[in-house]
Amino acid sequence: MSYVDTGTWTTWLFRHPPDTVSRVATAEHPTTVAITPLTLTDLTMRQQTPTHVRDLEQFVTQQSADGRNTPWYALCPTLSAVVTATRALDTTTRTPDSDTQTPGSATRAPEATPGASDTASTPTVRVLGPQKELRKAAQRFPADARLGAVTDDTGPRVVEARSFPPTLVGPTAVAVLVTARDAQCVSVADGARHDRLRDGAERAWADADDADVSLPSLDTVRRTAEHRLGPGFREDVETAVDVADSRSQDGVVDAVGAVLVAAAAHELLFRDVSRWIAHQNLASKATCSRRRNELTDADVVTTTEEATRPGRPILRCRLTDTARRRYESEGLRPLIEEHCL
Amino acid sequence: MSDTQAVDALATTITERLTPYVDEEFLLVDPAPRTIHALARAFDTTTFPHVDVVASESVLRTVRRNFVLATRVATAVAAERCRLQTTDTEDLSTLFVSPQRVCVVVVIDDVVTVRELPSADWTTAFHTEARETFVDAEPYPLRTPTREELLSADDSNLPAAFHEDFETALAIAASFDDPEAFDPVRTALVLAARHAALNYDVSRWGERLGVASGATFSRRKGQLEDDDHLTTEEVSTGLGRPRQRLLLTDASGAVLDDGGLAELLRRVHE
Repeated sequence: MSYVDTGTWTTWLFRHPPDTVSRVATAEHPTTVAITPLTLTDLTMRQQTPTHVRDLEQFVTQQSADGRNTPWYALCPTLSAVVTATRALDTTTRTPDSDTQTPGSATRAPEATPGASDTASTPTVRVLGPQKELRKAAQRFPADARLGAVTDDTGPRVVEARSFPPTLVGPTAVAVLVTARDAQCVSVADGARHDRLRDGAERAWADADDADVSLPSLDTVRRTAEHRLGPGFREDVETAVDVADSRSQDGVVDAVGAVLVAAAAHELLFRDVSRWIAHQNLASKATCSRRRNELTDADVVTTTEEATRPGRPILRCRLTDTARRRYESEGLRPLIEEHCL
Repeated sequence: MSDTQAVDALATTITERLTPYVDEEFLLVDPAPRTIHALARAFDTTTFPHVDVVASESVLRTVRRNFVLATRVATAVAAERCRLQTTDTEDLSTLFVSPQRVCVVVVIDDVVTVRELPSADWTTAFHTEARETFVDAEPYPLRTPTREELLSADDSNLPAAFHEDFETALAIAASFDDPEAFDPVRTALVLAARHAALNYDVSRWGERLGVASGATFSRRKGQLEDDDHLTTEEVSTGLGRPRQRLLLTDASGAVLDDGGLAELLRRVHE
C-alpha cells in the first residue's frame, strides 16, 4: 500500500498483497498504519472485492465516525457509480448487532479502521444522478435496495450527466473515484477543497428535482426477510448480496430468482414469498410467477400443491433432487451463482 | 453561475494546470461539452500542450451543433493541436492524461477543480487505458470550417465587408443564451443581403466550406423571405437564367440602423 500526502488532496493507492496483514492509513494520521490479523477466508473473499470499492468503504467508515448528523452527498453519473457508491455506503449499515453474516463475507466492512465506531449508523445521504441511470439502478438488485436504504428520507434527485466523476462528499472529506476502464483509484480531499465541493453539492441538491423512481430498502428487506420468512432467510438475502458484490461483473444479481431458490431450499409457500417480494418493491407477483416457471424449466425449483379448504390449493416451493443435493453439500451460493447472475 | 462563467472558470483552471507542461502530449478522456469548450478556449494560449480528445458521440454532436464552438475546435484540429475521436466506452472519468501525469476534472454545480493525482504509480496504468481507448475509438468528422476559412476573403466572390461582419457575428453569437441557436446559414444570408451580394455567391461559399448544402441555403432563404427579413431582386447574367441579389427588407434595414447588427441577428434567430 502507498499513501501519498500532498497537503489537502491525497490519493489512496491500496494494493493489498495476499499476506496476512492489512494496513489502514487514517485522514488524521496519514502515517499511522494499523495492522489487523486477517483470516485466510477473509483474504479469499477480499480478493474478490475491487480495490477501489474497498478504498471507498474505508473512506465511508472513517467519515462515518467524523460527523454523524451531517448529510452526505453521493454524485453518481452512471449506473456503475450508483452500484459502487451505495455498496460503499452500505458499510455503515452492517453493524455487529444487525449483521448475521458469516466470517469472511465480502459484504462485511473491511479493516477495522482506527477511530471508527463499532456502532456506526446509516448517514443521511443525498444521492444525485441522471434520471436514466437512477432508473436503471432502480431495476437492479442490490443497487436498488441499497439506494433505497441510503436515501430513505429524501429519495435521490436528478442532475445533468457527465459533469462530474463518481464522488462521495462526507462530513470532513470528499472522495472521487477516478476511472479509465480497468485503471481505478480513489482520490481524497479535505480542508478547503472539501468545503468548496460540499458547497457545490449542496447547491446542486437544492436545484435538483426529485427522481421518479420507486425503490426497495435493503434495511427493510433484511429486517422483514427474517421477520416474515424465517431466521435463515436473512442469511440467504445476504448471500445473494454477497454474490452480486463478489461474483457479478456489474454488481447485480437476479433478486427474484435468488429469493425463490432460497424459498425452495427452506420449502416455503410460494404465496408468502411472492407477497413479500412484491411488498418489498423487488418485483411484481407476475414477475415472481414467470421466474418460478423459468427455474422450474431449469430443473432447480419445483412446487407441490397443498390443499386448502375452501379455495384453490397453494404451492410450496421445493428444490429438485439435483439442486437439493448440491444445496446440502455446498450451500445456497453455487445455486445463485449458476442461475441468478 | 451561468454556463459561460463555468466555461470561463474551467478554461482558466485548465490553462493554469496544463500550460507548464507544454512539451507533453495529453489525452482528454470523456469530457462534457463545456470541458471541450474550455479546452478550445485554452488553445488560445500559444504555449498550451497538444491534447487529443476522446469523447462520447453525443458530446461531440453537441459540440458540432454549437457552430461557434465547433469552429474553434475545427481550428485547433486544423492546426494539429488536437484530434477528435468518438468512443462508446462508459467506464471513464473526465481526465487529462499524459505519460507523466493524470489530472482529474471535477465540476459540481459552480465548483470547478482540475487536480493532478499526486502519485506517479498510477500514471502508467491510466495513460495506457486512455491511450487504448483513444486508439480503439473512431475519428469524428466535425464537418465545420475553421475560423480562418470562414473569415478569409480568398477564393470568395463575397465582399470583404461580409467576412468582417461574419467575424462580428461570431462574437455576437458567443453571447447568445442558447449557443446552439446560432445558425450560420441564416447569418450568412442576412449578411450577404446587407451587402447586396448574390445568393449564388453566398450559397456556393457556404457549400465550399461545408457550412451547409445549397439546398439548405435555398430553404433558409425562403424562410427569411417569409419572415420579412430579406428580399431578392433578379440580376441579368446575359446568358442563362438571371441570378438573385439578396437585399434586406425595409424592416430589417430599420432594425440594423436602430439596434445594430446584434439586434438584427437576434431577431433573425428568434
